[in-house]
Amino acid sequence: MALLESFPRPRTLAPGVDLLCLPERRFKRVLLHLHFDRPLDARRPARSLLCQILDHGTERHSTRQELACAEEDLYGVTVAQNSDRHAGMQRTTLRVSWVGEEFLPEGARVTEPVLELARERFEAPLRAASGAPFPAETLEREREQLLRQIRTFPEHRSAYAREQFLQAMCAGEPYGLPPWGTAEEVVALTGEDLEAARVDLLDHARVTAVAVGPVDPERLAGALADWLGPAGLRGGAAREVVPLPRLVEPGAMRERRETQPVDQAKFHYGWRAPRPVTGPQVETQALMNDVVGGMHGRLFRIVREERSLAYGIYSSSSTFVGMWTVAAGIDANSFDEVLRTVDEQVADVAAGNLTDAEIEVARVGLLHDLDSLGDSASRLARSLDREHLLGLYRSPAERAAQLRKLGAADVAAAAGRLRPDLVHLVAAAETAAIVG
Amino acid sequence: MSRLESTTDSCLGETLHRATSPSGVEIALLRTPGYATASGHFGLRFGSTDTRFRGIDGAAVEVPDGSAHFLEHKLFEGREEKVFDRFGKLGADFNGGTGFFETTYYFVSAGRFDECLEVLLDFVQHPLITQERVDKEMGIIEQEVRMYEDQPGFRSWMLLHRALYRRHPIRVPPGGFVDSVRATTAEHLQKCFDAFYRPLNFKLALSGDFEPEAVLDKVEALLDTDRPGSGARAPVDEIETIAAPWLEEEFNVEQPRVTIGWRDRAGVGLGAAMLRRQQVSAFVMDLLFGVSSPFHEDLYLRGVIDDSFGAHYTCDASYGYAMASGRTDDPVRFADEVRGAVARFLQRGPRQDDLDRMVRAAWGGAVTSLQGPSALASAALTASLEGYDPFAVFRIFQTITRDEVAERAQELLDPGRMAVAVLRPKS
Repeated sequence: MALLESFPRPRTLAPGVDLLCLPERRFKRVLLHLHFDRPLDARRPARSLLCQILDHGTERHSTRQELACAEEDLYGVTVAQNSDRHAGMQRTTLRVSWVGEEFLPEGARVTEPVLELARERFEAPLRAASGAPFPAETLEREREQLLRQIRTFPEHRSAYAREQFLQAMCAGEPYGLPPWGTAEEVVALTGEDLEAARVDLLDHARVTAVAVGPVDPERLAGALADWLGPAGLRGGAAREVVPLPRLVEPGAMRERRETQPVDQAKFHYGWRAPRPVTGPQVETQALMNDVVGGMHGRLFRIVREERSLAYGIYSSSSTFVGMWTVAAGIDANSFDEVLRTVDEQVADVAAGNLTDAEIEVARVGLLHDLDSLGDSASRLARSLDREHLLGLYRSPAERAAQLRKLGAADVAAAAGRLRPDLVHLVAAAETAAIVG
Repeated sequence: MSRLESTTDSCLGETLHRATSPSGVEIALLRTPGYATASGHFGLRFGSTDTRFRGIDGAAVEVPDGSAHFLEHKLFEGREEKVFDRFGKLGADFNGGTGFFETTYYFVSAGRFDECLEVLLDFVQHPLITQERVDKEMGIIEQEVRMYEDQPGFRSWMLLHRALYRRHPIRVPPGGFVDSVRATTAEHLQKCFDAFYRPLNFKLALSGDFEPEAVLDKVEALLDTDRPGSGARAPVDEIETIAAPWLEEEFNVEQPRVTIGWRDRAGVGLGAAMLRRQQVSAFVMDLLFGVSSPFHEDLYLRGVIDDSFGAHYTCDASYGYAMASGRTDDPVRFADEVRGAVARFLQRGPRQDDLDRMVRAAWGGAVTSLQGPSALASAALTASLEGYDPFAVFRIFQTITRDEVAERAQELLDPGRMAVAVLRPKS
């Protein structure tokens, strides 16, 4: 299928503003993601709180209710923004989606109105009557909400455990900082801090716009150029590329155990890995990841299927950060056995003890992911963005060709380059893994 | 095999082809030209609430809580080769799910549709359930059950069920409890399988860029032709009044979670009537508690609710309720304020322009949810299991009236059928 054999060339709307657009008429909804990338720096909490504030009105729609009504009027378009870690940066994303006009009653036009709704959130937020950047009551209410979210975060057992693991493993690195900040940082934020963060995003962030679905690229490019192009509203912006994070060479293996009132213990095991640069290196890391910690990988087979120690155990690669992580929900009493198994299996794969069958199962799964990529707008959008960040611009077919050339020696070498760094366990106080 | 019956939806342009196999399996086929993947969804009306039933021989059977879910796990064990490995070799995505009333299995494949279809229909129809295999699975399921029990949202949801219902089996989590999992035997699971995993109960939905007639021929060859009849689920013996107007439980949470439910009156059974009730009730809840509602805005601005707040309606043949939930430091005030908002909404009634706007938004949402082979097949299977047309929702959007919504709101949001479930931090 032609879609899988080409990669849409990025269209530069202005220096530091790229549009990747894949018009695809099979989809009924358009997805547009506008990514604003900045470093994981001191402005992190301001960006996070700003995202919440921007939900609460614009000059044209002065309340959240009015904004919601406007979205519903346009046949349920969605406009939302959030800020999180991504590829070693803090990425603030404006997510916009709307139903393709051919699926709406005749004559209905939503493309330009929804883009205007999205733009006004960032460009024309509701101001305070006093002249302050944001209404004081909105700022205080949303600050309290963010503080509550920080306070109640441990209730999200898996996400909390992962965050604690990342903060411990990457302590001292930007990646180890919570993107939403600490409670103390949030308390200290002023309206002026948020306004500075907003202006900084619009004037200095590198912007990547990714669009997939039944959209006219020219109409979209025109609307975005009016905003972010050289002759647009933000024409004078000086955008900065965020450098990739420095890779860390681990010292002695570290272990951290945290007590939380949980029924099921959360296990994370972090390894440092080289950052892949070429296409084959990226695919090698993916293949190794699936051989060891994929759905049909060794860890799933041994830890779950053979020993019944976990409902699920999976690994994942953080390509840009140089990390590889194994995560599982386990009985805390199985901690030592799960840890030992991960060590043994990584060492075994690194030693080249691999069967053709297990490589083939992992490869077939990855090839299926590539073959099916064209059927999902959200996966296509993620894939386009990732290739853009990697600077590789490979089509799914090219990636598949690179994947097919890999063998056991490549997988073993990739596993051999992993260096264990930190194992992290969140478990109840009374469990043996915590007691001793 | 009966001839295919085809209908084209005027809103989306999708054509649904239907047939029934000689043994009684209902089959839905949807063509998706230009898509690389194809998908198969296979399921039956047998879920976690079916713990008391009559077997095919008419004998009364009782199995431990969570048996339907345990059986779903065991089916993935296969006979000679694990289903994980069979699908793994084909590179397919696959999974299963057990709800209160239904169990479903599916795959998504790019280029290996025929083989995946064969695996799907084989493992669901021909399991091998032994005590050794059941024993081995217990640790895995126990971890899954613990994972859900650890989630505050799940705990407060189940607490609400216990507040709203006195006997209804939805009081029990779909996976059961650790103790009931440990009490489950191969014999229990075999009895479940023998009673319900039968052609008369099976529904199959397939979607992909294929010729429906040709696929139907393949399906026919893969479906069992024997094993007629079905077990019979025990009727739900529920009392008309709610179990407890206010129910609390201590749990490992940082802030209280409140879930308020309004128990619906007797169900309308499955089929188009149930779908209409679902949709009209969903509009009631959106008009009352959606972000575009003045009631939501008022509660939010006064700090009664925050972004953790949400509301929706759910139902099946034997139950239904509306619920609103959120985190708060003051559960009593939260409940009083929500009760007050409901009273004001009922007094004022829904407005036509608000409903028109909601219908437009729902239209966009429905269009989006029916995109791609797997989503289409999933929707077709749900519709088949629940007895309606997968595209019927658009006709509801075209015919719904303000009076219908107002009447439904009065019926649904009866303060005498309201219960509050509170998950409090451990003291």
